[in-house]
Amino acid sequence: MSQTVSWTEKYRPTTVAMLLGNEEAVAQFTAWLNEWTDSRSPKKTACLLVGPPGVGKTSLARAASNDLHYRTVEMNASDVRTEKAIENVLGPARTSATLDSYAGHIRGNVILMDEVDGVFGREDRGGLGAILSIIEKSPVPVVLTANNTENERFADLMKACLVVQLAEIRPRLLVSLLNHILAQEGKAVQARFVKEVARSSHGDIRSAINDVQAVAVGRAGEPVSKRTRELDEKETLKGLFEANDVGRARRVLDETEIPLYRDELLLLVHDILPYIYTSPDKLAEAYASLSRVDVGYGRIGASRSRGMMPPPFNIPRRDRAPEWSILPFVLNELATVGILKVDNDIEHVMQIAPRVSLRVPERYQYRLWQLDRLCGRVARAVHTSKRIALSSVVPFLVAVFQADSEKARDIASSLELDEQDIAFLISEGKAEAVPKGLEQILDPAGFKLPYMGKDKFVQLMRAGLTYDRKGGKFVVRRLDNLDSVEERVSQIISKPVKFKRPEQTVGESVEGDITKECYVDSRPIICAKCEFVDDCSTHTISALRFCLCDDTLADPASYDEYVAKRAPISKTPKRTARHRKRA
Amino acid sequence: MWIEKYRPKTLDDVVNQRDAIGGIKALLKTPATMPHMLLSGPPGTGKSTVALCIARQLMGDNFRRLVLELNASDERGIGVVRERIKGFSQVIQTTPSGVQFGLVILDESDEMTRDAQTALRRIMETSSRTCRFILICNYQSGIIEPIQSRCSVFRFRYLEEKEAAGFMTRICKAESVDADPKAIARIFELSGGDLRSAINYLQVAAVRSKGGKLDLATVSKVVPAAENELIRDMLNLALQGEFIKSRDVMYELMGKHGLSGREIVRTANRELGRISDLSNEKRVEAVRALGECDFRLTQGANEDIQISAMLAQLNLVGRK
Repeated sequence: MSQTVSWTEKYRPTTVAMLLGNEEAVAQFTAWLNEWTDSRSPKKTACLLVGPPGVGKTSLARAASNDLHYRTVEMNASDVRTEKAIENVLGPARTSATLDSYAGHIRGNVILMDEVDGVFGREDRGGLGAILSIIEKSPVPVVLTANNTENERFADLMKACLVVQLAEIRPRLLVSLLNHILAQEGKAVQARFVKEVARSSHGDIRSAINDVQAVAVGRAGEPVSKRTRELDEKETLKGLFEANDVGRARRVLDETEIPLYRDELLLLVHDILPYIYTSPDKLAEAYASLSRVDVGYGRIGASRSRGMMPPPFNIPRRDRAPEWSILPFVLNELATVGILKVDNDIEHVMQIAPRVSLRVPERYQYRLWQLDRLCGRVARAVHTSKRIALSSVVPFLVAVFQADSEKARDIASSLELDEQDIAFLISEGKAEAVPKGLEQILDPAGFKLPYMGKDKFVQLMRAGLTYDRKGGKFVVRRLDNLDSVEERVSQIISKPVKFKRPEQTVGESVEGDITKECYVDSRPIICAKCEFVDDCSTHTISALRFCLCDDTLADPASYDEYVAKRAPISKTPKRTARHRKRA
Repeated sequence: MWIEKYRPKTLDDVVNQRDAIGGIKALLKTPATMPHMLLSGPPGTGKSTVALCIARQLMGDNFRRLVLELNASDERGIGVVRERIKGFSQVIQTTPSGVQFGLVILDESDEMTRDAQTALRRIMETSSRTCRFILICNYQSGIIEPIQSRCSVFRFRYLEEKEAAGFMTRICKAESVDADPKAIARIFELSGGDLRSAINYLQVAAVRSKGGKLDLATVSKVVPAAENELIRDMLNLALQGEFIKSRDVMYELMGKHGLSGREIVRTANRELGRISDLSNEKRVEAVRALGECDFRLTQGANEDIQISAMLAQLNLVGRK
């Protein structure tokens, strides 16, 4: 098979049925295109597809046009910029009757304009006006795509168009697509890698396929048995800490599959370091090198200050391009971190050490976001920075709320805080007092709580519980983060709570016990292993009953199954049926 | 909040900083030739208040429209600062006092990187006809020389007890709170010369006090700074050889309380002084570890790693 063809082009969907995800948007768009007939055009002659890069905006436009026997006349907004140029290209295309249409295949033209949000820079004066005038007069469907329409100058455009929003593709769907492509190409890539690509692509199909192709094709020439396998997480750490000279440790870094341009490995080492070195002097020395490595990463300046803070707290440190040239030196330093003799066995450590650097930010994300919002408002009211507000105003506010909530309310309204902030402050005031006292021991697989109203119920659902209506019991959705669920449930019900830990043999028995159902419409989920209600009927209009758990994804046929199930969405219009006959 | 309610409205109301106020008043006699100003000093000593007083004196009571208040540590990058200043300086200003410029108050300007400050210097030059700048910072050394030389610099000192106590007593009178002088002295001690947190303490204590009587016992119950306790816990745990536990406390500080690494180190530096059972040699080494960490935080990428490295060092110090 030719390797020069990019897979993104090769597997670009040609029919609506082949599109991935965004079922609602697809249906909306095809419905709009279906409204066009020879004699009548819909109210809005243009459709604006809005969504992040690579979610299939262009593909949707092309595939739907193809299905409905339209020909797409494409223009890239970056090619044609001025009003005159736009007129030149679109003028002829606008006339709906084309030579081909007499041949019977083609119904007419669809004007497809990609990336319109790129057009209206300073040098494109008039570009927007031209597009608007085309939309106004056009006797044929006009499809526009854009990544971001938040700017005010798109207000007119948004008014003139039917706006269809496309969302990021769910990682699980992406995995099934990637597996399908790999199966078609006869290439094998580690399942872990596919998942990683799907997750890190942030729902961008194009980049996910490109990444997978890069890896799969890069290895194509080598026979499977001889393939130099990259070291996975465990092997990397083992190699790094078991090496007794820097050279060997450095080679481990060369062979690792962990990307070194990010600080991923650094954090991994950071998490397990105190478990590996238990003697203070070794620990101090190892940490001293690790902190030098971190300074090195800071000098490179590629990753922004990661920290724990949500975006507004987190100020980008530098406004310059990263200096990759010093990466080798930084890696040399990294190789010295594990040079001392280890105190504990690495495999054992990897099993017991918690990944704090990942789990802590995850757990507190929402809280920090609330805190940030609050600090922003307080800072504006008392003429300080958020930092000062956080350190020397908010704690006092919390203390006032603890003492006297009525007076506190007056103060809050003088600071122009809104209800959400006040609710947060009240919960903060309470949170301190809660966890003390006798703990209530609960069984995570099903426990009862007194009725507390809808708000608390929703909060409990967000905290990671599900409600089993038949039994009238709450169930913990996932058992791998009981600590944080415990903490949040205790806060919500204002009573300390402790869950019974499941036996160490976490097998099918535990997972099978848990009832899985969508908590919005409480329908059962088909597969007991699924963690999420990916295709809940309230979420997508297709009412898709398709399981996307790891077992299903391992099967390369899963994509075909998915396509087969979601095909009924696109209704074949009557006209096309006639066309086909004629053809 | 009392800190807003009792913020001095004119320069004459400001209770402290006689030297700085005197200088500023002299400059404001001819407002048209007012230079850029740099106010530096520790938190809670009245820098922002003085800046706002200047604004009010120049622009009148509804000065908010004519003054651009920016916070260098909140605005994301110099690009945003530039855009906002540009937009602001293009509006023609008509002020009650007749000066022909707008006022930009840039708080926490020492938080800006050197690159950003160099850019700021350009901005100050290009918009000098339409804008005057009042820069506010904690450490004058954090501001690059070229900017310092373009400003008249005023240093602010921590408040003295007499000044702060007088101010707090006035507030108590206005709010009809019967305050024990000992309680006020205690509040001043807790705040360490920072009037903002002193007034905050006072307000919390007043809310808690019963029947409008504020005595020493009520004050000692107010412990709003849970973070400081946590930081002391963290230091103690590290010094006692419980590295993993102390690192967990660090994560709680950063994650749950939203503190940045630099704040943790700064507070740790203060709290270290309050740990009494530490020999002098150990104290010296501990302070050295803190200092090294503070430096590396400005250079590094991950604050959690840098603080952990510091804790590992303290762990070693404690074990010796």
